[in-house]
Amino acid sequence: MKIRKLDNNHWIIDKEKEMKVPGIVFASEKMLQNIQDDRSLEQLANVACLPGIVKNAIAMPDVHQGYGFPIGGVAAFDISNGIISPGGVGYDINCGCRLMRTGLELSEVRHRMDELGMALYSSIPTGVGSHGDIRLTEKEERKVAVEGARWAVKNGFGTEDDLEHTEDEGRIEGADPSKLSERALERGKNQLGTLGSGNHFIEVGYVEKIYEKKAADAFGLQEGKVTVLIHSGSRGFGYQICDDFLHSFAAQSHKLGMALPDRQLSCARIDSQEGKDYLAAMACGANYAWANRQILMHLVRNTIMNFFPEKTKELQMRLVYDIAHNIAKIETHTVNGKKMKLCVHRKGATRAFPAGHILVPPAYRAVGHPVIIPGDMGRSSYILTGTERAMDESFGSCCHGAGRVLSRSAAIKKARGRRIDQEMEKKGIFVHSHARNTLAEEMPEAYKDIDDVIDVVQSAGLANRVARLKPLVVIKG
Amino acid sequence: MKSYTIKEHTADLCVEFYGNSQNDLFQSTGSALFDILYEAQHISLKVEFAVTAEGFDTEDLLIAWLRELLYIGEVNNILLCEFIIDELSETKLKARVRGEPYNPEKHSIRREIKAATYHDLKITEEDGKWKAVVVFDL
Repeated sequence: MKIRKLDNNHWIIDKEKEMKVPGIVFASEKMLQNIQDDRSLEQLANVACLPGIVKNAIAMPDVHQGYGFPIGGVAAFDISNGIISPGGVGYDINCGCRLMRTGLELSEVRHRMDELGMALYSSIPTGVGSHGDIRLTEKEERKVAVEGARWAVKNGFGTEDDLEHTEDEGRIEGADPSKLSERALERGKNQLGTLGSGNHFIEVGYVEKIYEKKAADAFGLQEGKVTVLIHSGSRGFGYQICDDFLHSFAAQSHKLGMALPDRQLSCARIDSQEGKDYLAAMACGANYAWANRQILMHLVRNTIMNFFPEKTKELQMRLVYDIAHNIAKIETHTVNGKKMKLCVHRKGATRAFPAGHILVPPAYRAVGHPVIIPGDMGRSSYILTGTERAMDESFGSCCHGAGRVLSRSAAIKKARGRRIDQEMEKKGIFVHSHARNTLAEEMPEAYKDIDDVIDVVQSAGLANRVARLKPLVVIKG
Repeated sequence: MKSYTIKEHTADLCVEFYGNSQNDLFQSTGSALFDILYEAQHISLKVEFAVTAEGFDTEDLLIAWLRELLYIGEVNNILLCEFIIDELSETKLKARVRGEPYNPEKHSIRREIKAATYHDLKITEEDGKWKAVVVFDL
């Protein structure tokens, strides 16, 4: 497999053997050297072999090795003859990120951030197997699966304004709970309103720098104001949905004698009953995740309100946006001058639709919706807007984070004898976590430098910087 | 004989499991799995679950087995430590698994596993030594 340079930010893996399209990698030369240290490019080439794939298999600058699809991968399939792949969405269906802004001034509240961290840590259900206070009946759980974030708002966990500032208003149409297994429903009934573990987090931070005033004003972002990022997904509900369908698709692929470069890429035709069933079940998982993040934000709002009772008027805690980064969406894109209906898989990648796009919420249509890209817990996060060039080159997609460079075991080895929490505190960042190894596994050195990733995104013309955020408090599961 | 080794993988968990027979391999993946999930000096035998699993080949059967164990562990909040495999063929398995409820005073959580994946999945047997490679999503 050969990779060759197109320009400073674009590389191509030419079509060869079973590949149906080339692979395109967005990366700098320096980043490509890291990317070639693991099997991301081999995985990208495998994705390019899948039936019905259109134009290119794409790797974002934060790409790293996954299990099947690379993480930081985008692939679009013609709905008339292409496939849907549960592995191309991931077990954590609609893992995603939301950004909430506040009216709090950093300078006035910085001295209380450690205390606020402890208040959030004790009030938000976090950690492995965590259960929240919400206990769903099966009937209500099915409503969550269909209504998504709207279920949460209807039940007192937010406002209509929140829905208007969520990707697809926090709901994919066509969700069908009859396609769910009993096990998925069992796992989902007590996990709504919980953060999860691993790389999920809640991060209180602030706007450190504004790059583009018009978009920043549209988003309500101002330098020095406190923000909150929430990263979580569909919990055990989503994992079970993916697991159920992967198991079924793998059996079906085996029965049909389908040759797949990787069994984890087991798939079904989008227009088959199995494909439609998966999309209907995936929508349930996605809707559960949007309800989950809506409820988590509500819990954060309550905690902050109780923490700053004297600042009620200033709080103004408004959702800026919520974006999915493990999902498949049916979208219309122009490919070689022709409009095509495609199933776009984004596995560790987000939408980045520009100004004027019909799917951008009205409040943001003049500038494009916010693209939220969190860095590691010690460094910056970025808010950007998408471009027409992204629509052209990446099906309107951008990266989702910094991307790992160290394996978890390598990170744990590197962290031996160190107190990562104390190192963070010296930088003015307070971190809280349940599981022993999480802070080591998630330490900044385990991730690519987000500034390098964003440089490539900007130089490649996929998205433009609007604001940079810095962390103050990080809650990990 | 040790029952598992954790191998390098950027974002997820790649594990090699070992056994002296197919039966032994499947038993050791069970005990290794819960050692990967939890740190526990001792796990009592307080509860028992029956498990059946099927696969279209032995590798698929292994994933089906791991899926059952992960599901039982999560939904019941249980640590499992005994895995009695009563029937085992290349594609079917019946077992009884035993353990105790999670107790934060005795047990600590090492990590969450979302699922056992098919990626790089391989079972090999050489001179009576069985080995399985499984990548788990974290």
